[in-house]
Amino acid sequence: MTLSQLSWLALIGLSLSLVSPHLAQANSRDAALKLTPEICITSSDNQACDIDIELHWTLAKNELVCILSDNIAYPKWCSDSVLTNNLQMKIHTSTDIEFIMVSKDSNQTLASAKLKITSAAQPQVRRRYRNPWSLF
Amino acid sequence: MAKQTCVPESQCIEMNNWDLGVAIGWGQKSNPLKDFNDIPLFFIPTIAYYGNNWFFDNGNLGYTLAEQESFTINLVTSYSLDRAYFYRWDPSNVFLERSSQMPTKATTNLALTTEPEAEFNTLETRNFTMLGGAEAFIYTRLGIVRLAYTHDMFNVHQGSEAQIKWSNGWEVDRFIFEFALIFDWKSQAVVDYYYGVRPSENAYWSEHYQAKSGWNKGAEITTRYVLTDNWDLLLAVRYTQIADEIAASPLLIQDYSRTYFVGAAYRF
Repeated sequence: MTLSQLSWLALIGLSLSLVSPHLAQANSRDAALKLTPEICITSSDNQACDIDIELHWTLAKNELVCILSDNIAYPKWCSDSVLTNNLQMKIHTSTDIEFIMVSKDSNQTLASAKLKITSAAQPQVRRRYRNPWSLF
Repeated sequence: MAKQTCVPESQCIEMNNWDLGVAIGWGQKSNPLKDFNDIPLFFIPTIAYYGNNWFFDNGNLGYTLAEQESFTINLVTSYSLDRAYFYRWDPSNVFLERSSQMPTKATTNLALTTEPEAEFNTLETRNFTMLGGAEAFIYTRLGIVRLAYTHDMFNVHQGSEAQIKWSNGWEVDRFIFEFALIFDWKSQAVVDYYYGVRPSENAYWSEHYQAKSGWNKGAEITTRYVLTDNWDLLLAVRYTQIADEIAASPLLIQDYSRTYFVGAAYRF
């Protein structure tokens, strides 16, 4: 193999390595996962969030998908029909949860969405024992 | 502790933050002391800081031992209000105009009209002291009851004071009302230190007035009208009926003290 041929192979390999991720992303860009609502507000820092959520997705092609989360309380769920495009869940959590949608066949990540838990962050107050404007 | 919801908002304070304010206006505190001027009021400051357990509120330092929905128990310091009649720089008179002793003039003693005229040389010093003790608040549907007992911490008069106070507040639209009934007990040592007569002041009365413990009785109404988050209009009125045992002192010309103030209050 000549030096010229090696150069061409290297160039082709470099080109493929640069292009292939874009091809994969192009595939996942066409898929979208929408979470409603995306934020749950609690009244205090330590309070858990109880909320009904809905995941709704669109795909570039009809395929079966699975939904995974980073919370073990919500295990992997997979669709059994290509016509299914949403999932409703009851959530009880005090921490953020990230949902990931993957292709059931290829296990390729298609899209993700995150449920954020925030507190109302009210300033802490306590009883005041003196009337500020008392005349002594 | 101390992180539960606090209502009503007007009786709550944000923790770990200085609460500063000043009321500017006009008022007057009558001085029951013979030959002393009434005390005009131009400013009423308020300075408070509440931590998790410690708190500082207008000169009073406290530590909360227990805070429950129905009661609170604190260790507290306080200072006597009696010295304020004698001295300008008493904490009770901070920002108030001087309470000065006027030249002696003939005045009828209301307490004992058959006794010799109560005329005094320059009064001896009545020192400042802090009192320390405990207080309890009991929260009921009919208001808040405060029970307190404090004792002289610096051996100035070695006396004690106690208080029973009932207060209740109402909020009507932008008006905030607070009404209080106050019963202040002062031990014989306190009464003697402030209202007793020293031999150098008047030899006759130093022997003929014998101080005894007694109860002052008072009522106070504070009315605020909320203008903005920072500005309130303020009207405060207080009446104190001085205990007979104290009013019997020849240093006093009145057996009561009246205070009123009207103005605008600003919270920073």
